[in-house]
This record gives sequence, C-alpha cells and structure tokens, in this order.
Amino acid sequence: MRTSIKRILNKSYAIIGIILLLGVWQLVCSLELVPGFMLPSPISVAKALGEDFSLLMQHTKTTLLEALLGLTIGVAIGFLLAIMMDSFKLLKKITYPLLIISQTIPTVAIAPLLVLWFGYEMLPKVVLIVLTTFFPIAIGLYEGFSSCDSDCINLLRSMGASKLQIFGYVKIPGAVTPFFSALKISASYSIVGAVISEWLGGFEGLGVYMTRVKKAYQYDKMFAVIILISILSLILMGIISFAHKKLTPWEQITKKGED
Amino acid sequence: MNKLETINVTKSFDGRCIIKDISLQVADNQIVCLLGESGIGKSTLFNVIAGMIKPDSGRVVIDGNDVTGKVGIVGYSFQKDLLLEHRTVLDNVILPLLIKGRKKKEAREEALGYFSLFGLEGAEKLYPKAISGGMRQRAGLLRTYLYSPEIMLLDEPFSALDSLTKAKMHNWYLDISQKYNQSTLMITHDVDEAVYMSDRIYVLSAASDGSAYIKSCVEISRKRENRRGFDLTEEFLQYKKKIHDLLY
Repeated sequence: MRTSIKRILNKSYAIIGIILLLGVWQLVCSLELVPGFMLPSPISVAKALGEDFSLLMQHTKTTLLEALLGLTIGVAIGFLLAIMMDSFKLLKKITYPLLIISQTIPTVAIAPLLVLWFGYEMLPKVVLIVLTTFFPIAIGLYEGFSSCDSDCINLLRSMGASKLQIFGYVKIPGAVTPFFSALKISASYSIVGAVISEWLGGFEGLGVYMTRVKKAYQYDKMFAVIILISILSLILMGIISFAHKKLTPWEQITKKGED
Repeated sequence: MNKLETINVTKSFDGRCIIKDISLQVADNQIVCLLGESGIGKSTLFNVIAGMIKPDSGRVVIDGNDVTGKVGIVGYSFQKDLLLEHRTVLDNVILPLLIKGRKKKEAREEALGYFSLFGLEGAEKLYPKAISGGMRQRAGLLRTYLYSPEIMLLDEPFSALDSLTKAKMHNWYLDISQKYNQSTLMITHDVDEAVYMSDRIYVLSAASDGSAYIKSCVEISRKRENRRGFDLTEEFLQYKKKIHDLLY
C-alpha cells in the first residue's frame, strides 16, 4: 500500500514538473517576452498538432517503420558482434577500437553520403539507424557477457557444459538487464536517426514534414513535430521497460533473510 | 577400495609451486575434510580433482580409473551456492541433468523426488532471491548431488551461513550422506566443523617455498550415527586440540 502511494507520488512529481514548465512557457509567450514567431506558445503548438494530426500520423507511420526496421537490424548486428567479441578475444581487440571510432563520426555528416549512395528511398535511412543503434547493443551485451560470475561459468564447466550451454544458461540470461538498458538508448536513437536522415533527403516522414514547415516559417508546427518525436521515443522506451519487467520476474523479488 | 584418490599431485602457476605431492584417499561413504589456512591451495587441489586444471604431475583416480584432467565426473560445489538468479530453484537443481542431455520434464520429475529430503518442498517455483541462505545451500547441494550422487567435492559449503543454520546443516548432511552412501571431500577452515563431520581430516601446511603439502592425517573414530552431541564431549575437545597443535 505504502509502496504504491510512493510510486504514485513519484510519478506525480514528474507531471507537476511538466505542468510547471508548460505554465512558464505559456506565460512567457502571453506576456510577449519572446516574439511569437520565434517561440510559439504551448496552446498554438497544441492547435497545430490538432490541425495537422492526420498528416502527422501518416508521416509518423513512415518514420516508425524506418526506426523499427533499423532498430531490429541494429539489435541483430549488435547481438552477433557481442557474441563474437566475447567468444574470440582477438576479434574483440581488433573490432572494439573500430566500434568506438565509428561512433565518433557525426550522424549529420554521414547521412548525406548515405543518400548519395543509396538514394532517397527507405534504404539510406535504415542504414543510418542501423549504424546508430547497433553500438549500444553490442557494447551493453558484451559488458553483460563479460561481467557474468566466473564462478558460475566454472561450475558449469566442471559439469562438462559446452560453450553453447554456458552461453545459454549463464551468459545470455546474465546480460538481459544490460541489454534492456542498451535497447532503451538504441530505441531513442532510432527515432532521432530516422528524423535526421529524413531531413537530408526523402519524400515522407516526420523529418521531411519538419523541413517543409521550417521552410514555410510555421514554427508552431515545428514544435508540434518535436513534441510528437519525444512522445514516440517515450512510448518506445515505455514498451521496452514493460517488456523488461515482464521478462525478468526474478529482478522484482526482494531478497529474503536467513532461516 | 578407495572411491577417490589423488596420487602425488603437484601443480604450479607461473613457476610457483601451489600444491606439492598431495596424496589423499576417500573411501566409500566417507566424509574427508581438508583443513588449512586460507589461500594455501585447497581450491587448486579441488580444481585438479574436478578436472578443470591439469596437474604438472600426479594422478587423480576414481574407482580405480585414472581420470586426471577429465571434467564432468565428480559433483563440485563451490564456496558460494552459485544458484542462477534467473532460474527457479527447481530449474537450478536440474541444470547438471540438462547438461548431460536429459529432457527437461524428465529431469524435473527426478529432482522433485529429492525436494522433501533436501528440505526444499514449496520452493520449487521460487527464485533463489526469495529463499533463505540455508535453503539456497541445500539447493546447491541437491544440484551437486544430482550431478554426481557418489562423489561430492564441497568447497566451504557452509561458510556463508550463520552458526545455528550451520549446525542444522551439519546434521542434515551427515544423515543424507549416510543414507545415500556418498563419498565427500570437503574444504573447510572451521576446525569444529571438520571434527564434527569428518571420518578423516587432512591437515595442510605450507612448505618453506609456500607450496601446500599434507602435514598430517587425523582419523576420527566416532561413528557417523553417533555424531549428535559429539561437539559437547571431551573426545571432541581432544581431537580439536590435536588439530590446533598441528595447525599452529
């Protein structure tokens, strides 16, 4: 009972914070402390969201499809890389620095090249999302595999377990929590990656919509799409958190004391 | 015939000799303890017996067969219970059977038959976090037992338990090993535990080069079925004194 009240209170603090922020924002706009064309008020942003809702949903569909496709492939590649780095130490020594270097290249710099190589359709977007999402998964999973209790691995070895069995019984379940943490990061990267790649070339998607309204100086609509992108990322992260909780029931148990 | 025997086992790491010419015997249905200071090399000897490390010289013999360097023959229980937190108690104890290739359903049925004897009834579907330290240890021992009912290597199995739970576990283990005719080789730092539980105690000591060797072997003549209350007798104190004299 006390826990659930605490949980509700914790959530309400966040809601109060958002309401306060919106209130201050509205006040700044109503008092015209900042010109309206530079900072549209929350009310005008909400109106813009309502007016273009069906069009926004159409663009959202494209962006989500790209993001989910890229994320799925990114997760698969990250998973394979982590397994390979854990299994072959030499491979880890070779690829780990390359992985780090790959993440120092700014996404906005590589996106136009991808458009040049793969055209204006979905492929360059998915490639960019794969490039941004595989990294947290590969590193998170690899760290998870490496931090598994070596005594547990030795115990299974003493029972004559194969490498595959050790992976299945100890390493993969042991890396579930780091995997989900990495997945949350990758999920938010996937939406941002999709929007950035759409900015730089494309026919449909929230990024394309954003460039169009920007060119028309409709900043209320730009803010509306920014909020929509944040909501999409939050929904994705919420789904991942829910799946994490459901798939790891042992983590919800509080430790029991002695007899 | 000895159930388990090591013959002149020697092992070095990075040029430093850890164990030297260790020869010990464990007979059928015997509990034998290895007693010695922390870090002296007892766990190295266990790893050699379990086949996880190959000795530089010497042999490990089980039932008359040379099994040196072979894994998967003896049941090995580590200092910690090492239950996998993501598996229920039942799914933890059946792990060795699954590794051996048994079907999950079959393995579960076999394991469930021992749950009451190991004081684990009701814990089948619980996760390790939800059970007490004593139960965790018993679950770990059942897992070792299911792996190799005949020979158990126990590395400080009760060291993490409070003294009351430990005392209960000692009596429980004496009963169970007697009932199932198990041979046990156990590492401990606890002289009381060694005297109370063992039929034989090997006292390990460090040589001048730091390597462990068997300094002495003490036979405990008290019958296993008469162990309850043994720790309150003069006889127990005499054994304890003898071992203290060997150790210090």
